[in-house]
Amino acid sequence: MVEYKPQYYPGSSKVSKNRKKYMDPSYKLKKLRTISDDDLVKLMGHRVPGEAYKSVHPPLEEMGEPACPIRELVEPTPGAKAGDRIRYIQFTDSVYFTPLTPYMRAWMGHTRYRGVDIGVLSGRVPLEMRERDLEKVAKELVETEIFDPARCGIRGATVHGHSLRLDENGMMFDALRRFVFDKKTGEVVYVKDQIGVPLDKPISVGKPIKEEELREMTSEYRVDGVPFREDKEMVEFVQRLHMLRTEAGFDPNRVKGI
Amino acid sequence: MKVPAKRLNAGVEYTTGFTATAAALCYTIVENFKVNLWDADLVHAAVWGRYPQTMEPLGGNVSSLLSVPQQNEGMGYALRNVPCAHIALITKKNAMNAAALSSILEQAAMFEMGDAIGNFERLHLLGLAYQGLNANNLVYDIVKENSKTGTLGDVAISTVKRAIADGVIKPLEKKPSGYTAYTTDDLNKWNAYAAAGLLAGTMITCGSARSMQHCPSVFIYFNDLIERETGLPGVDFGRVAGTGVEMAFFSHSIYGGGNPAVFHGNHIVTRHSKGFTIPCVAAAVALDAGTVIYTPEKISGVVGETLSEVPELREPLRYVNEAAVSIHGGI
Repeated sequence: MVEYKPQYYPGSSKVSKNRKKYMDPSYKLKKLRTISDDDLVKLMGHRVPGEAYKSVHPPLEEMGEPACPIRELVEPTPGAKAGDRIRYIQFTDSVYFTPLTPYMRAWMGHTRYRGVDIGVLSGRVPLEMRERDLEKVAKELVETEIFDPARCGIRGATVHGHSLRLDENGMMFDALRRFVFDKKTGEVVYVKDQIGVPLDKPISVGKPIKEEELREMTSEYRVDGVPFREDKEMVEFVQRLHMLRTEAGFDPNRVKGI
Repeated sequence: MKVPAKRLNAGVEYTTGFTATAAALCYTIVENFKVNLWDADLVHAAVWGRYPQTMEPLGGNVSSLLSVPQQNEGMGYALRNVPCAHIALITKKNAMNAAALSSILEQAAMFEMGDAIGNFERLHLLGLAYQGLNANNLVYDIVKENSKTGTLGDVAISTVKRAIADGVIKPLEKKPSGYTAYTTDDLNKWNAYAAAGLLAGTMITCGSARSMQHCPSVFIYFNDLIERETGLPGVDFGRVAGTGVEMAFFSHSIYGGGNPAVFHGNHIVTRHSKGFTIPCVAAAVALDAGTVIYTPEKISGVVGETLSEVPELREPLRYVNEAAVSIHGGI
């Protein structure tokens, strides 16, 4: 057998290497800040901290499961076992050198986490899971290097802003003013939860990452950063796939050795 | 009630089974209960529902597995118009059998639609074998390998490993970055392996969450991941990924649609993949522990309960296997 090591992502540029790094689950994401469990629960707004998890069906053990070899094999997540509701966290990522592009959230989410439902839209990326599983994953998504307090927004609704210019403090536009820049501390502070309900106490998510650092960390191709067209391997990869899909659709038997 | 079997057998199209049964039921009730001229129309309404003011017997009390032909998206679509809720309940929520029954219906429909012919016949037959019927235990093995902690990404990697080990794909060239693109001399077989991986990925993702709603996300990103892993096209050469985008929208959005249980191969947003998407949806519905409001039980009504009495429909894997063994033995 040919020696095979998972590759995750093609391309030779800095950006493609960053993509590969974030998608590779053996790479441990650097922790940059600490958000307490309770604060995270408040930010998402699905339950009050300390409140029991609501359920959508009884625990699997109580309800019993139909005879199915796949159910016997596949270990349910803790949230599925308990019958938790499915809840979400949703992010908006600015087009200005944020660590993750919307698609990267899906690719990375599916390589790192089990039992996730991620959808990519133009200006927002929801990630849905059983509630207690979601809280664990959300913690890593907000506490590590893939989250920039100023250019990534935790936004459940009215997500607009990803393609707008940053304000004088380097913050992404938010029509609901969920997060504000605290000039005294230099930190970004959430005053509302992800759907815009005011919080009793502001929650700090730390200082914005510096522009130079973001340019090194980003997985966004940009004409004023690393342009996609300069990553020849990447362009070749995309063109190759486009041709293979098209030629295979015409006649799969004729596609050989390419 | 007795239905004239000769008429059913002689029916030019499949609706004869419905029309003959519904009409016979009306006459039986009228005769046995001595219903008079003025009340007979109520019996008709109870049996046929609002038909013929509606295309289908809306609110009626006779139902058939296949929807009326007017609801078919195109020619040869009849076998594709069975909602995944029916499939999951007919197979008693056994995910392997749900995928098998769905795959048999979908791939048989490909013959009726004119897809599985000439150069494409092998594509569909291999798809049925590997994705639908668990050929060489491929689906089961990949699920087993990732059953405890595996992610969707791990399933894509397991699929690629198996394709390399079985000689289906091989390295083409190593790029300066170290990335290796793979090639194949048998794209149909690669598609079958990827389709088996897609089903395994659905079983891992929807299975670990015991939730059906995750399946469209699997359709898009399993294909993205396996394409990036190999440089080879994803399942059905991009059509499953495209179908996933539409299905994600119409199964999650504020704009309408429904949960995965209402989808089928004849559905306007899931018709585009030629038989490779719906078996995974059926498996996802089978693995759901009760996360949706509009449940498969509500959607399917008595259809699932009744047709699960037919052993060949309830356990297609077993009966196809037995039939295959008998034919093979005969050959």
